[in-house]
Amino acid sequence: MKLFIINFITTLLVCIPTFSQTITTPTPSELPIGVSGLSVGTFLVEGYNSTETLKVSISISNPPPGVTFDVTSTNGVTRDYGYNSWTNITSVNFTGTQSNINTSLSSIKLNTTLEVGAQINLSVVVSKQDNNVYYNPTNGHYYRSVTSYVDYITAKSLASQSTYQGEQGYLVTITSQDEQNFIVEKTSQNNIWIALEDIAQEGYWRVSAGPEINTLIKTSNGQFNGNISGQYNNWCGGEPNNAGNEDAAVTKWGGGGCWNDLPSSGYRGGGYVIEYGTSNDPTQSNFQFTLNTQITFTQNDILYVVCDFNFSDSVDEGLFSGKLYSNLGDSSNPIWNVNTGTEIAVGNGRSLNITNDISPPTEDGTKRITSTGGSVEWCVIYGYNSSTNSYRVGIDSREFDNKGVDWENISNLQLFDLWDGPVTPRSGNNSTSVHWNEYTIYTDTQIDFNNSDYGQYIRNGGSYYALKSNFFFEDNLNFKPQSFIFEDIEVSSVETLIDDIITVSDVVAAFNELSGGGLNGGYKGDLSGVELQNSDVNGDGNFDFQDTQKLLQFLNGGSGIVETLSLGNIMRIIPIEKYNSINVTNWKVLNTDVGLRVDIDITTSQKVYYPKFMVTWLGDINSSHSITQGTESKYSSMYKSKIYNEPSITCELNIVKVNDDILVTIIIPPNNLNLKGSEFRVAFDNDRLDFKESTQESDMFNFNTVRSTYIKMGSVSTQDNTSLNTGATYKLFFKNKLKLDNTLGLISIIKTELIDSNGNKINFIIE
Amino acid sequence: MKNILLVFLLLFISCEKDEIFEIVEEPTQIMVFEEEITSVKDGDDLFFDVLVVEDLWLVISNKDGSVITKEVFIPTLGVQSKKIFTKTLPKGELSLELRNGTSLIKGTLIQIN
Repeated sequence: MKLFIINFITTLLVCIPTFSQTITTPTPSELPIGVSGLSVGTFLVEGYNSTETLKVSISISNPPPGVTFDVTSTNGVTRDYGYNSWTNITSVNFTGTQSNINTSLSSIKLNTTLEVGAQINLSVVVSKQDNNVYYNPTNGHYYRSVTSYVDYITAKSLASQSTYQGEQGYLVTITSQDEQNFIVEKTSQNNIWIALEDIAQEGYWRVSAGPEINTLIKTSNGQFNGNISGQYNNWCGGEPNNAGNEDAAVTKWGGGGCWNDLPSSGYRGGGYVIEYGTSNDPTQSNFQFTLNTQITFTQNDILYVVCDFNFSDSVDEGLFSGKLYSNLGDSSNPIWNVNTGTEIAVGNGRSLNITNDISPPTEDGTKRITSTGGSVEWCVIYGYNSSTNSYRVGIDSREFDNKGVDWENISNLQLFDLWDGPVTPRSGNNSTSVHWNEYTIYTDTQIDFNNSDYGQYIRNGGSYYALKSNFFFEDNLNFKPQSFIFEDIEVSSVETLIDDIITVSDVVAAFNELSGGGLNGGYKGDLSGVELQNSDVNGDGNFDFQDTQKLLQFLNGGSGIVETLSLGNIMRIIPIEKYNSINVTNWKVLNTDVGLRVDIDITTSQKVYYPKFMVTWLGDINSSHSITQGTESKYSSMYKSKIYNEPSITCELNIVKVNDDILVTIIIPPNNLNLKGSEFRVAFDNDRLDFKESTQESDMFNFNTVRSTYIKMGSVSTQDNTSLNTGATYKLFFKNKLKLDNTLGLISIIKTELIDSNGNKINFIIE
Repeated sequence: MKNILLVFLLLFISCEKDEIFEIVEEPTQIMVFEEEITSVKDGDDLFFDVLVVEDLWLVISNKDGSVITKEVFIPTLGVQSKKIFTKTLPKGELSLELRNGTSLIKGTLIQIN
């Protein structure tokens, strides 16, 4: 018999289905102090059914005072009862599908404080959603809210018969203020039975269920009488009073937040709550179907650099990655040296934390002066010189005595919170008679003396400010110029990318823009400044018919818009400040080069950087794959508004075997849609087919590009009076290498595009 | 030794349930249009019946209803065989239809892996 039982248990264990859901979390890291909105990285919950509703709990356990987090993407997720905000919080529970919660989790932003070394334990718990079940992130317990009105004895009995995710249930025990708050705030019922009774001995209140069962918390009735130190009591005023033999307790009495004693049998409370969980350490959770993870971030006074590359949604960022380099030469003769060599993928996160890839600063032989508040006015700052955009600063020369520092070897100065940056010694002004060593601060922005935290050390002398300060000298450190350089991608991927980016609608947009003033005569005004930059495909600083000619050549498989097809010849990465300033009149002056390098200026006087870049593409005239300058662009807004369904045109496709050849025919019927461009991409199985030739019949310029796995072809209007109103026919011939009969799927249409004279995309239907 | 064997036997029976006792007869040809959905990989043969000899089209469309490929053929009476190649087809669920002119004769789903 014993053997049979062992066999049976073994069998059960072996056959229990495995819990295949997983959560991938960001790597623990150091975070800068005193910064809001810090991305923590990407979370990925996997393995759940995509339509299933999941419950998520995010919390910071024992948060350092002031540390909070925000959840910035909340589409499709719903906060649990009792959680009222997504921002500046220390915990939130919510529900949503796997996809939505992944987006929300990856949008967590931490808000740090100035406490150096403080640890932030960010916990994330995921499980399937069950109605009326709540998760308490503080102790890792689940609570099921039961609205049945039963007496205490029944509630305790029913609770003890319940299980959840393999854990035994028990009538809720409230053993801390936090747990009391959770029950009060996160459950909607009142007069909730709790596992506390004095049935055995009047006035001796003991926990009656759960891990703390039989724990004595009070030895006498009355709000504070006999409350045992170290045990949690939370009685209402005058309670417990045993009025009419009351041996059980409820919380949320009358909707408040305290306890009252009531009869243990025959009296129905306002429902009860079943608690599940034994350990009070959430990381020791034993729930079978709950994902539980905790990541520890540490606040430190560190350099922190996160780049944000904004790609259009129509571009797959997963293609791109790069490395951080330092320029060991100078700007005119750069020598790029890779820093750590770590390849950082852009991926879907778009935000790249490059903090650990920045090369440490090095001494440059000069000195830096730092300051603290003092008792003597050793420093004076004269009024702002608006003609030179500078301040004249004097530091008493006696502060330099016996320091072994040459006053002319100072290159950097930190003055309270007023200035932290480079200075230039003013030669000839260090007269010993006036005791001032003088420097010039060049800045376009005037110093805000009135809002300094060091106001008590600053005196406004009218034409100058005097600073009570002490000075210290240290070696000046400088970062080499840092640049993030994207890795190029293989040519076949560039081909597909550029074929996606530059299509017939771009060429129609280009011709349309130039129709405003005739040949080289001016623009129609439909394009934004960035789009005009993208239109200047030959890079001569003008957008004219030479550019449209190049675009036509590109469509037609000619030399293309660039000599060599590479990512670096089409990608344009623009710092957001510059991007926002480009307009239709200054775009030539503010020309931005194509290339794979972006510069990130790092100085020792600043710790936190969020450089933001916008990615656009050469030739992407309608911004279909670039970050759009929306308000100025007609084409981008029309193209992206996806007016695809109306109007539409039904075209004919036929694929037929003719001897050993396969003939593909695409026919656009006569119409009145004033089509100015058409484009198709016909993919073919190049293992089994060879492309032979194509023919095109239309009243417009017909183009054709042969790639290794697809043919790109179509027509475009290069003159106002041509269109596809009379229709068009396109034929492609392929040689069947294997001479196979009865095949299917060797050829398919993978892209189509029809564009009318207004730049609208027309829905292309094949029958 | 007897006990060890008994353990293994019990484990085997408990985990595999009764499938090992079932004898399933595999059809030699799965008629694609008689299935709700068929998983397809490169080079698979698809079979289907044709009752009338006339020009027919096999049409594959994506979830949006856009036709991806449309191939005409003249069948013989009875079971037809088509070897499907998936290199140019998008991954995922696609619609496969047998059409006569513009009329739908049969339709099903194929899953490209």
